[in-house]
Amino acid sequence: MEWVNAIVQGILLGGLFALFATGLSLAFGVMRFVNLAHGDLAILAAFLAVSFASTLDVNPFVTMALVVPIMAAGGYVLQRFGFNWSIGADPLPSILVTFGLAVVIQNALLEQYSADSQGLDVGSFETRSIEFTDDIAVGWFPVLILGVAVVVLVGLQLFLSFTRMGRAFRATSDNPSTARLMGINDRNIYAVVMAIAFATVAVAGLFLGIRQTFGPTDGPAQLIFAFEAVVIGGLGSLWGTLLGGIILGVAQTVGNQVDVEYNVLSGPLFGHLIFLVVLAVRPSGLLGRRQG
Amino acid sequence: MSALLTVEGLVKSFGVRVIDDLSLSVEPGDALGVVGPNGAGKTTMLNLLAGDLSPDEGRVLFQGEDVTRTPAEARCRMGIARTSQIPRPFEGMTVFENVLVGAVFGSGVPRREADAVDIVVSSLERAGMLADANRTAGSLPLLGRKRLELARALSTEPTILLLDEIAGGLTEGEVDELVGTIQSIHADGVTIVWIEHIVHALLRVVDRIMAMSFGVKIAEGEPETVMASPEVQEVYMGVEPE
Repeated sequence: MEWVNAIVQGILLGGLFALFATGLSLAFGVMRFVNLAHGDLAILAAFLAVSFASTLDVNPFVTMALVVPIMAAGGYVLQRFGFNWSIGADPLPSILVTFGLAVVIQNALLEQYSADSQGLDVGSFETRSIEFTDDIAVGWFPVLILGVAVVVLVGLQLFLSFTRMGRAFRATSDNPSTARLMGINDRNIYAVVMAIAFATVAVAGLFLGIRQTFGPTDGPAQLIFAFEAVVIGGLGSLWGTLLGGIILGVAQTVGNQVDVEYNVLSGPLFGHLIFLVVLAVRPSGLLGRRQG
Repeated sequence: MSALLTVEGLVKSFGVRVIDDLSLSVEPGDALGVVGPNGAGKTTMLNLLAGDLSPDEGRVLFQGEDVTRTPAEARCRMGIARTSQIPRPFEGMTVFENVLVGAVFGSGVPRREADAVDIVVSSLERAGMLADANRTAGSLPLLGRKRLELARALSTEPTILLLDEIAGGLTEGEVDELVGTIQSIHADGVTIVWIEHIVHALLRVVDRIMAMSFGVKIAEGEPETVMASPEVQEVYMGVEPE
């Protein structure tokens, strides 16, 4: 039963990873943009929530109503007037630019909030759970995270498939210069993509901040998990990202179960191993399109 | 009558001058053919007209408005459509979706997808693509891709259509079919600028020809006169003057 529990908890944890990875996956899928500051943006959102929660004296969940739109607007502006210059056939400029941004965010957070760990307190909801058996208890909060991740990813997929703007996303992703000839302003599309990416990573950052304590330099570790989820699932596939997040989550919790005392095989290491296996056996990811 | 499209002293250089002081005027309803050897700057000229490139010098006027620095997507919405020499469909989308994107974003009239269906269907019909509407664009053979280029361009409801070697690579029979399609598009009142190596196809549609060599206009006028002129015979047909 411990194993069943490990898998159930892993699936729930996978929801958080998938939510983290959504923005990364979308930005790469539509504009081949690799955002190395993605993890730091999540941490930035969590710190913003800390500030709003204390100054406005509200529950961190409520701050989402402020943090998510602010981050989305920031994403739009940053892409429109900054990142767009680094987009092209070569992904290297985007990597350099966002690496720089990551350093800036980390240091700005250190300057503003000090290196102390912070947390977001949502009261008893965080620990409330339903017990199915003695061994298996499912927390409401992890269920909420997974639910949000599924809604966000399914929603985005439907948006891409069936809406006017979604079709413009796909057209631009397919061939930006042709999209321009069809009257689509690709620079605006990229900015909207980044706004969505920032909004989703803000939600993920808030959930992370509620789940555990965090510090200004915790971003890169989150970035690695998000990258792994994207690569395992397949670059550019949102369904793949959901699947990748869940596989990574299960790998980590099962890994912890294998070696409870963390002597050799900690959970994250087990996740990294799964990631490497996928990379070696199926480099395009489980649901990714094979490179022609 | 004022010109639909005017080009004044256009210069574009990529290290060497690819377009060198080119001037041109196209009247509404014209069908202009452009010929010239490979490397003459024909496609570059089309890119400058469509807004894929901006010139180093000179101006492009469309309906009396200076569009020299106007980006491609805005020119598309103003009524300038083009097809590419190498078809560039949205490979992962269906033929219908490809054309839908043009009808929704390219015509300059903001419209919802549901309101664009009629235009999509008529564009597909005019380009002879209706039967393939639900195929994935990436799976189309060459003729289908060329027709899709045409259908997509039509979906933006163009005033002027720029065609870049649309007949290239097709069989005789396919060229015939395509010429018929282009004739009917022209008959509907769309102004046409057509770059083509297959001169006999060109001659069935255009009423004027411009010949280019090394970025310079070397002749312009009646198709037969231009094709028979010594300059064109020399650079284009490879006939050495005595």
